[in-house]
Amino acid sequence: MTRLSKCIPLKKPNRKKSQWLLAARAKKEKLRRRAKVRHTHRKRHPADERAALVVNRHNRGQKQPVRDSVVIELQERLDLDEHYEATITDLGNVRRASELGVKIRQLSFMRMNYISPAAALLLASEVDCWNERTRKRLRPQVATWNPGVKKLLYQMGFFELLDLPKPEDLDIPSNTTFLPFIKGEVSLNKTDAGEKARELGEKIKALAGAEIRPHLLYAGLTEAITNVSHHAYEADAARRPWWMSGAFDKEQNKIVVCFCDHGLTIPGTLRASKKFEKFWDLIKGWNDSQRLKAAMELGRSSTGEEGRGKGLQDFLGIINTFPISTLRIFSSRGKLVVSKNGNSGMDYASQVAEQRFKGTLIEWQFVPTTKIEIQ
Amino acid sequence: MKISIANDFSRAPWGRFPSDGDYCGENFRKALLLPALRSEDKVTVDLDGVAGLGSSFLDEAFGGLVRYDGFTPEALSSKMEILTNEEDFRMYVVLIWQYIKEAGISIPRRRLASA
Repeated sequence: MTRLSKCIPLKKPNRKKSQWLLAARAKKEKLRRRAKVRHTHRKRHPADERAALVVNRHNRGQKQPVRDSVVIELQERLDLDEHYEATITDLGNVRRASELGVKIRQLSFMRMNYISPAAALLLASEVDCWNERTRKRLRPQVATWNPGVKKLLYQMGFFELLDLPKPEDLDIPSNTTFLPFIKGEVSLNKTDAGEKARELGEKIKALAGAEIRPHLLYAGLTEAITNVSHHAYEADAARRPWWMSGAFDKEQNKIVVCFCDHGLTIPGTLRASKKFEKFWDLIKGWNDSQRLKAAMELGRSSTGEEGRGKGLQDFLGIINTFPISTLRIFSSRGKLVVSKNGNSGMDYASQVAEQRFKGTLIEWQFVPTTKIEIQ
Repeated sequence: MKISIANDFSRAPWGRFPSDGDYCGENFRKALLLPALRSEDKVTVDLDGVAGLGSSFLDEAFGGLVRYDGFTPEALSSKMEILTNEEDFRMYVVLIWQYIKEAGISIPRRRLASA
């Protein structure tokens, strides 16, 4: 009771409320014990972990025992809109293979006919991690790939990542142009991370041939890198990588800029500080989307130190400036969308996803208003 | 004395602490801003030429003067001038003075807490 009172100070002694809180604490303890029992009784063999990886159209979701390698067949469409859950499942399978050190015998792109810029960056980051951890190359059957997808992935630098030669059939008309993704690591890129963010802004400006106010993009990207440095990974993490990319859709005159990391996530690091948050957190009712929304508040920081918690506001610079723009943040199960359509105010929408994304993805989409001549 | 962030420090400054990167707010404050403010009567900081300025950099570089180095917002307003000719960067001038003011407000609060 003493500990509870510290977390949620009661203004007046209220018998009814106290009993209710005691019941909540008992429920939490019961759940904790049950989880502990489940954990200690269930002995999982590494092969079981691997078995769950192979989920494709042939086995219809059934577990398939695999000893030392897996085949991951990607979905037809990889995007973070209608196909969010399926996309995160596919990418999660690549991550699990990487974490378990299982060889990916084949990452099949055969069925894929669409990939969004954000999903492409996430896929590139997962494959990059797989390459780094296992030092093994994937065996892609490029000839079977959809030509449009092949072109986009080539533009993005996927072929270099996989050590593949340049494909020949790249003369396919396409509305979207991807920029090569940029990778950085906090401890390794102490001098050039800012330069990388600046270069991406310049490249997007040249690609779109429009005034994109690159200083806003620069501030958003460098604050995202700063967050990776401060909060995103465990303090003793050996590697703290991040990735960023850009794309331009000619038809819609839309720029997409994405940034991602594979860290502990925003909901995973944000502490409950307000009374109602502590209460909801105690009874497991403070979900990831609410945590994401709370993180966007000015002055909110997981460190609790003075002067901190201003960075996420920099993400909104683009949204404040461009009348048609969207900021999307995906972190753990939380999804936060801040959008502006016309000269109205910003709309906030948040959702809780079924699949957990182990990391954070920040995506800006905006329509530049002023065309410029690029020399 | 005039300090140009782009020419004297970096055209791509970012981050708060040296653990983030070499061109962070703390390094800018300690290497350029603080020595200039301690030795000169008037210091002008020129923002032009940088790729952009994030909140972490600005808060650590300028708010840090009040938080860690003993300056008051009033002393800084008479001693330091922030300069820019770029329309887009005018918001940074506002932000810098805002962070200095906020750091000034948090100092008495910290003293009260430790008393």
